[in-house]
Amino acid sequence: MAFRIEVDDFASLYERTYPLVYRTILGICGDRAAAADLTQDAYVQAYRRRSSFRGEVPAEAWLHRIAVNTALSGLRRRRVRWTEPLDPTIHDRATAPPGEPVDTDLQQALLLLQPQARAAIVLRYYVDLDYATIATILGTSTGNVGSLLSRALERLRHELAFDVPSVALASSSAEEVSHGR
Amino acid sequence: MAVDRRFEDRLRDELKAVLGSASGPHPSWADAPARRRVTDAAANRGGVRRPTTLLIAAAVALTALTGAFIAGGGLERAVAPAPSPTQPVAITDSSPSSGFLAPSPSSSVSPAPTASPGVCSTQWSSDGTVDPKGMTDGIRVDLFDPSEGSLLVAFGHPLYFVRSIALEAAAPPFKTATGAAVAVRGSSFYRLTLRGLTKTTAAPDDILPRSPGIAPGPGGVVAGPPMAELRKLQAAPYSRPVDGPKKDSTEVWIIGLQAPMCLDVHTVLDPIDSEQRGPNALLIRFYPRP
Repeated sequence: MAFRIEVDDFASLYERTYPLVYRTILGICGDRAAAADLTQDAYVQAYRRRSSFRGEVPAEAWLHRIAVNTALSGLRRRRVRWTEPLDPTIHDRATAPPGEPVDTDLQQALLLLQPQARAAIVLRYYVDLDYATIATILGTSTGNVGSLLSRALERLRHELAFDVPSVALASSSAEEVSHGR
Repeated sequence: MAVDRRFEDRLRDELKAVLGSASGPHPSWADAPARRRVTDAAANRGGVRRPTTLLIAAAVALTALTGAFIAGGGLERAVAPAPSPTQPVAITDSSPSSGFLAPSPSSSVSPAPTASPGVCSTQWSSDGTVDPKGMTDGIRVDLFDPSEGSLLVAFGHPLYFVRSIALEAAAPPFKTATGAAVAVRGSSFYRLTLRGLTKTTAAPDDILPRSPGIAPGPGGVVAGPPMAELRKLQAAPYSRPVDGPKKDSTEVWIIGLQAPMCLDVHTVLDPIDSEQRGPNALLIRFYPRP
């Protein structure tokens, strides 16, 4: 019971974690309105399940697990798709409203991935989680996360024209798996 | 398969630039829609009535009316009979259409046995009709709440994904899956068997009535009368949602009652998660024998 998240703590947890949780869900579902709704769904679920929080992991990690599952579930339920903006200028970073993400090639490329692979990419490269934590969140094995990320990166590399040197280095993904992280 | 680390670094930078500039519309808990949703539920948890109960009661009443209408020939019966002693009737799916999940003929509700004088039902069951394999969140109970004298069991998905749900009268001795004898408070008992879960229910294994002078915390789970105790005899082993539930993914509860009681089960939409494609919650009530 020492780890129980009481109501006051939950308000603090919400405000501390909201930006990251919202952005993570946005990265997974790609639609701002849907991300806002799903973020609220995630916190409702977290609130309802807070008595089951045992403190084995930080509250933020526990919350992220609920958030990602809510986002993936929401994608299936709502068939959320990345929407085409009515105003084409929103594509332009320079003219996009402050605080609003623009619809980039990266987002379009992410759309081509399966939702679980997209979640893995966001958790790995935006939230900076290790493979074991990603595996826990996605309910799969560390090895599966490695192969999921590897395939997703290949696809993104094929789709994106990043201006990066073509010197192929050893994959950090492969390194992480081989080191059992 | 080698992936350029510089590509990964660039991807990381791009993601942080794109997502890092996004700010959600509800950064404050005070203004969050989630707060309003949970405050209503939590505030009423300790009260005389709660919206959930009222909404469920309304759903039950509506269903009873629907049943009466159907019985009168007003609608063509659309539900296959369930292996239950009570006759199921169709319940209107009031959830918004997402177009993803086909509604199942198992979305049914049992009319209140009290509608038939002298009838005392002591069993109820429901069989799943849709393969749950690959369900992102798995098959599990989201809410197991016996605090108000009825047991509300809400799933995060429609009931037709659950392989089977059965309630039946039971008698001691009770034993756990390992054979250990378990004493459960009460003078009559029901066994609740949930087959096909991918994770055991996140509720205390032993739920007792509220102790005098000791109020449970906001997340506390207590058994409201006439329930004397709810004891989990068997937990469903975890299985990966992508694989679906294992064959032995069965959870068993014994519900001890203060007196011999009849059973009244309704399948409803849990109002706090009303986006489900079909009924996703069970409202289990007990009433004295006629």
